[in-house]
Amino acid sequence: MGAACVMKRRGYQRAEEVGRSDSPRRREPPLTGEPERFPVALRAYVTSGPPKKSGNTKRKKDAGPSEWSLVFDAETTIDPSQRLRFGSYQVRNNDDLSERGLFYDPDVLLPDEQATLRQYAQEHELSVRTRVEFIEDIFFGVGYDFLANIIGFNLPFDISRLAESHDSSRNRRGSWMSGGFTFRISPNKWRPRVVIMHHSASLAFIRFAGDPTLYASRSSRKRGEARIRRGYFLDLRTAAKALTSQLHSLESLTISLGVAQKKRKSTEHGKTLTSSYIAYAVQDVNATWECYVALRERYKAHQLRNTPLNSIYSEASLGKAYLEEMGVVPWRDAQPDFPPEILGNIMSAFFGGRAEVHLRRLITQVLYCDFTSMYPTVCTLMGLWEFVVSKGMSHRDSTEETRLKLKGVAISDLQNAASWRGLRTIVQVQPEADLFPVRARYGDAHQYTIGLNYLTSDFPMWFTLADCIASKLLTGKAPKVLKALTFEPLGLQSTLWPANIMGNTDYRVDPSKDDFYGRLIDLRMAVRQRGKRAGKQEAAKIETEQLALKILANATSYGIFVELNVEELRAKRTLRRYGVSGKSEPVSRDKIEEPGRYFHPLLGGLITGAARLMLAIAEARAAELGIDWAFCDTDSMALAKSNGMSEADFYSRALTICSWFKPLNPYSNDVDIFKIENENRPIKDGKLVDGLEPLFCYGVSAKRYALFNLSAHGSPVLRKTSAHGLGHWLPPYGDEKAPKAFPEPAIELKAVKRWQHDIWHRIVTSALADSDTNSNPAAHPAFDRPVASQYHATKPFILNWFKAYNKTRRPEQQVGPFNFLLSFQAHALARQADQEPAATGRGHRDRGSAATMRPVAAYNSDLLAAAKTCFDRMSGGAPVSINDLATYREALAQYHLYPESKFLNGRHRDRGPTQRRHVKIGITDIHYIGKEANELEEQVFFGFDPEAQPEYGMEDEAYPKLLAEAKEVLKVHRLTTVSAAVGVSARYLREIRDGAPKVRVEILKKIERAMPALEVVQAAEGDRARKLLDWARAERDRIGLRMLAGKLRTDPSNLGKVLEGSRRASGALLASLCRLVPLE
Amino acid sequence: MNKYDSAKERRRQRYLERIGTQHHVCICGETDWCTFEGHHIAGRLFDNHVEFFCANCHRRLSESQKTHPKPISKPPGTVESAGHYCLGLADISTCAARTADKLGHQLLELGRTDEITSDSSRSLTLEGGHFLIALAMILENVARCLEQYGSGLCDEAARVSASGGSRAV
Repeated sequence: MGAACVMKRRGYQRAEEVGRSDSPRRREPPLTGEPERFPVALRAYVTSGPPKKSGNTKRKKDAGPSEWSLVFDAETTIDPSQRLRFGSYQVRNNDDLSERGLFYDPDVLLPDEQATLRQYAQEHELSVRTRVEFIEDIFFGVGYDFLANIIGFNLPFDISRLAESHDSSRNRRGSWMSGGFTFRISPNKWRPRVVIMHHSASLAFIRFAGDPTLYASRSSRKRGEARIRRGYFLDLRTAAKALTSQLHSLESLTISLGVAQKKRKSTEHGKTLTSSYIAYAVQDVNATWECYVALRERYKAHQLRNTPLNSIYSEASLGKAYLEEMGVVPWRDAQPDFPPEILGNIMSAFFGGRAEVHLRRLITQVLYCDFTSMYPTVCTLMGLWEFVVSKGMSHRDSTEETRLKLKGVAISDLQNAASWRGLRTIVQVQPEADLFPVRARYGDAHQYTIGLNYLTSDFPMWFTLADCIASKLLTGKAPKVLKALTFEPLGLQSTLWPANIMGNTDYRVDPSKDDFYGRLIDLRMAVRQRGKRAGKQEAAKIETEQLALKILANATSYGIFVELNVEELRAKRTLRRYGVSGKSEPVSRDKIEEPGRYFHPLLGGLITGAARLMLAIAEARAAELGIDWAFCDTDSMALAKSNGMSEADFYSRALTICSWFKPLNPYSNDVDIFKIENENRPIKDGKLVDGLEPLFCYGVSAKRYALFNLSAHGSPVLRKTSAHGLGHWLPPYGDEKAPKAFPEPAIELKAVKRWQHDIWHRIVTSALADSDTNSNPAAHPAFDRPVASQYHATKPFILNWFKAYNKTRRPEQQVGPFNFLLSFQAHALARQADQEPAATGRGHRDRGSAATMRPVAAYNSDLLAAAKTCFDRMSGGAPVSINDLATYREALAQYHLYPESKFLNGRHRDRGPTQRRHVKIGITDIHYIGKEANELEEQVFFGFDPEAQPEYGMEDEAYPKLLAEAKEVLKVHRLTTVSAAVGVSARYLREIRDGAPKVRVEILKKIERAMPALEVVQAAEGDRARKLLDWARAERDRIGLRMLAGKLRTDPSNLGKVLEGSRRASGALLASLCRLVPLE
Repeated sequence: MNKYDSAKERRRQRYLERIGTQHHVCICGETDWCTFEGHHIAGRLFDNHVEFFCANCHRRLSESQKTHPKPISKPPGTVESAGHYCLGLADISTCAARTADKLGHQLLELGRTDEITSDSSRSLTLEGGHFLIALAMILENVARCLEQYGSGLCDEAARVSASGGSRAV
């Protein structure tokens, strides 16, 4: 059976049933339905004062690490405490091996095992030390005293194994290291502590710390130069991520770098110590050292002499090091006095990339395309490099000019690359059903998500000009412009200096003449071309260069401009907040966002705005040509075939869209800006070949989709699947242990694990059989085990969950910092997870609530054993029965129905084209927030944490409005009803209604949120009261007013007025009536 | 490594930390860390800026400082300090020029012998030699200028002081 035939018979026919139009559309469908109100969030610029000048000239220059290196690795027990058993180390001087040895904990290793260890050491000429000796002689003796590079893979785990005790790091000045752990490593009180601040899966900041006056020499104390050595820690996991752009395990790193000493595999973890297990540990250190040398050489090739490898924390660090090498002065240093009011406007216009699903839960034939290096491309088109190397920026009022531009702009104007330089503008608009990115809590969600929706606001708002043009292209209506500010760079910096990328003179970039991004992409393309012609040996080197250029282009073209580091303060501080109105308003917060070195919010906002415009152009062109689109994700879009259209016609029209972008190519090489992805190409003998093979898409929600071909038998052959919403869970089975009933992947899996592939395969197969709505993709015995995620106790608040667990155990059995732990899901939660992700907090709120039960357990390689020791971290350690834990089957039951709340027709069982919402907001709906991705990693593993995101309240003008609205509500509705709805006493509500001096905004927001529910209650009560009064009137006519008043035990005069309608019936009267006449 | 070597290495690292570099080399080419001493460029009285030189060079530079003009006022004024700083830099430049010239000529000689077999190494050696000789000439000229400016500034400070101007010029 041919693929086309299958499609016709099965899912694809459903596209017609759900109302997809065949006729070409020119624009968005007209606005339908009532406008909805949602809490809307805007980013604010919050500052504690003028920017600090980077680079403290008074501080003595850091000499950097010495020629000594210490490499070590620890092996632990596999029980929840994960205590040190033994470890292996090497000390090297200028790469020459000075000493290698083993260390062990005599309290953990049995005497027989110690003998095995000594015998092995003797046979292999290794030194043997106890843990305390290793710490004193090697860790401090070499690592601290010799200023050695302390090297390891996943150092926080290894260092914490050596520790005697730990505490949470507190810094009175609110340093970025607060919120981490501090470890006492040595029993020697003259040795400093080690502080580890976890940042992300690939990065932790590690340093020696303590009171400098304790550890510094007497002479330096006298000179006033007492300071603590910070040490030079190098976690290879961090360096590898920065230099290869991939998160590696030691095993994958040795393979990726092609080092001679590979990591071995062992099945002897936790078992009685043997020679082979010791050899495994020794080999780990050999592999670690070789990986270090390989990474060091790779970094050396960059020739960034001013930045040591220890200071490279991410790809962005590498980018920043190049900018420093070229003498680029950060914008905040060059122009510290830039008006913060305008920064507030700029930040409020900042939104991230656009990710949407349009054809939801429909199988559609698509052409999957993406934009070549989207962010560097738009940077080059708009000439944003000029801002990076300028002495600052000027702004001018361009209101009239922008109005005319928006009025007359047509899609063809944007085909002129030069016109993109005119997009360096932000516009204040009065949104009236215009299509803008709206960051809102759609459908009562706890989290803000961004959706391109119709927006009407009675409050002026700022957007980039690119967003305004996108709205015009998609709606045909220009937004109403109130004000526009155009930004221009202020002349070149005088400190600029050319740099050779990767130290290669052929890759020279002159920051004052070249467009850095354009040059990097050009170089990368040239290198790739060279790589295709090169031999096998040279190809590897060229691939490294190509990768470095890619990393550099991506690292310098967006992230560094919007880098904000959230620091927790010990006490609240008054900060200045600047938002959409540009006014300075004080806010008191215990978190502060410290801008990164190259923070430049204008560039961040313009880049993402222009990227959204690119997608809007593709969408508008698709509508013009009568084809649809299935989903888009930041820089890619799947163009979808309309019903009744032939395949050849579809490809022809889709390729017309791709070729439309050709004139926008800012590079010297001939490249397609909107290019067809490899997923569209056929595969023969495991290799991609030219041509196009029908590709189909099944999209659930933003970032959740599968792309697949159909085999001759009509079964799906997955080409690309998303691991979104699956990646944080432990695999229910290994890649090699998949049930035989599940078909093998037809192509090599890249970004997904085998079980994730299998889930998507089952979803798509059900969809093809038209049974996806009621089928569970995880309905298989392989998924009948508790669903779990693995994480580390990376922060003190996470470790605090184990307080009750640790309390009943001896110190050596307790769960400690950086120990692995397991997070499970409870039954009820699993059922609700996809509908209403419960707010979790950090364990000190909502305790004991069944809805917020969060089971966790100390790590155990046997998941079932771990599940039996599960406890609820929200209630402080109450045990959770294994029967209350959700299985993969339950947790994934609604994975393929995940709602796309930001649009209409996006609920669980909805299918077909999603429709844009019409969001109507007033000033009381606007909330200011800070960094959206703060503590994102913890939230992925443990659920949404409302405390993670910095919130900066509302506009000051909003308060009186909110208060007036609340008073109105309290006048209209019964206080007891409102009290029940908002959880505030009726007495306090009366005080608010009668003019309480100062009411908390949170209470006013509660009342505002309860309004729709109160209206429903009021309508129901009104109906009931009317019926009661009708009965009372009839009864009055029958028995007389006085008699009726007597029965009701009320005053006849009052009753008469109520029945005549001149007085409102009190609750007591209605209750009496109720008792007298029970209504149905 | 025995405990004596270990203690020596600890001292070395402590000292290098004070010097502020792991790649220590004196302007005469000396690299032995234990010979390094802190030298006040302008003289202890005039500025706190300390750089590290080997004991021989430090002795020479300190000796040279004794030929600089005598202090005019206590504490010294900005002009006087700047003058002494220029003179201190002039002394360092002179020493550095001498070393650059010597090493440059050695490199040229080496480049012309048959000891270097590879063409690229030979060209690099000769290039380095020429560069160092050119640098030596520039440093000598710089030293001369610095000396003139330094003396001029010290004279200016003395003149203003003698004419009853500000106490600390």
